[in-house]
Amino acid sequence: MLRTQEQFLLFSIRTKRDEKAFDRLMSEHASALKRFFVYKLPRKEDAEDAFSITLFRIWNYLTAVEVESVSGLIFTIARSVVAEFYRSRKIETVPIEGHDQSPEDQEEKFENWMDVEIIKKKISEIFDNEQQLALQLRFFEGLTIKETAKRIQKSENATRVMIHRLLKRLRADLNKKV
Amino acid sequence: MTNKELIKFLRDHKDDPAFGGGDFDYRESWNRFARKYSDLGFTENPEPFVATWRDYANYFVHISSKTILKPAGALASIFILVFVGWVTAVNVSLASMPGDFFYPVKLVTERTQMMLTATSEQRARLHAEFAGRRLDEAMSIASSAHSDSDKEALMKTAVDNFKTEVASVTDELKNVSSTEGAQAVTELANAVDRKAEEYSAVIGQSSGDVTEVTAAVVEAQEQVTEAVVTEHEEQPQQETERYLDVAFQKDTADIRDRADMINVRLVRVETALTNNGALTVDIINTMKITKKAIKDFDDKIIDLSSIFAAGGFRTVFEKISEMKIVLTNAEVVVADLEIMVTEPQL
Repeated sequence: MLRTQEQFLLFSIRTKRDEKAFDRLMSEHASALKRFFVYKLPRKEDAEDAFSITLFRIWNYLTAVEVESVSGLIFTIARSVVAEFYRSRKIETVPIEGHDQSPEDQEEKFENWMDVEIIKKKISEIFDNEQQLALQLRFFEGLTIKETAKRIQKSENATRVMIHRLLKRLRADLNKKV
Repeated sequence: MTNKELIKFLRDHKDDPAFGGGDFDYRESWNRFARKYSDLGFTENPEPFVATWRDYANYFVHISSKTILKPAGALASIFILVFVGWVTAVNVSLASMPGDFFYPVKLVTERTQMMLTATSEQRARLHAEFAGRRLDEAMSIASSAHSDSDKEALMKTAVDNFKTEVASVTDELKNVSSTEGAQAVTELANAVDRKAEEYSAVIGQSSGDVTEVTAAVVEAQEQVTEAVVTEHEEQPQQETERYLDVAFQKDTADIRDRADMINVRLVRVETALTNNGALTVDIINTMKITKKAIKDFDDKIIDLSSIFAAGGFRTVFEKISEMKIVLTNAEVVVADLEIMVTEPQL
């Protein structure tokens, strides 16, 4: 989305409390936001709840304050919602994804699943929230360096260097384990 | 594992649930949100956002005010602050004297005024006004509570500045066009005269040493009179002739008064010294020389009237200047004799 277009939508939200403009704006960021919650939270329902709460808080903020860029704001609010989630309740027993799958399906995907789980665990262990978000946006959401930089509110150069270092560290850690 | 392989792995597994992937229906999530917060007016499956020309116009106005009006407002605020600050400083500086903190502000303001003035006539007027200010400063310094050494230095500065301003008046007048010259020169000469009269009126109240200031004022009057004479010689005008006539009448009346006063004072001194038995040959000679020096002033004034009538203005005012010098010297001699009379006898 062009910056001017985003600014126009933000203006409509703030001055007219335009629900349609808000819907349009959020549709641009929803995929990355939802992935963030699914990745961070134990259950799909939790991710859905967090998504609704985040939209509500973003709405309240955008109708009250004039903001220059919404990308950084969205993930700042999203991170606080996740933090609140873990503060307000004890971590419950998480149902393992694929529980309802047949033993054959599970066996078929076992090798791949193991790799994915190891990498997810490593990412969670060695990287902080911002670094994890940068990896998600760049490789899972397929954003360019420029778009990623905009959403994590860093310069393009700093983002490029950061992602390069994250990959190098992740690779080194994985190679060590292997 | 290489970087490329790692990146490929991450991209290939972007839809894996472990990485937060999977089917995601934004509309469903929105509807869920809308149901939850329906009391705030959110609706399920809202229509697509469509902007009207009015929305664009409002947005344009908003952007304009942000990008143009706000910086302009900030700039205006800064300008107003600077302007108000400057005006305040200038107002405070108007009453400042040489040596005061704000005095340089006063001089800078005057220089700025001068720089912004286009014509020689206006510049000459400004110089005349500033000369008046320097004279006021000199008079204030003379009656101030400064120490003698400070007063002397400040007085010298003020008098020098006064002389510079008067010299600038006459310099600028040389550049004034002949058509406007007569009126301008006359007005400025009158302005300097008025200031000199003011000075004379208050000089008696001053307790400081004002001899140098008095000399500077006399010199200034002579300079402006000379400027009027020059102007009149180049192009005779009624204004300049009237000014010269008045100046001549005033000067001659002043000379007569001062000469009469000197004679009266000499008689008194002579009587007093005779009564005291202190009249020596030297004193008698001094008094004779003094009387002789001013004896024929009446005849000279009659001659000068003829020369003036014939248009010999420059000669007349040069002679008047010489006569004034003689009178000043005579007054000094008489003052010394008067001191001698009042001194206690040993």
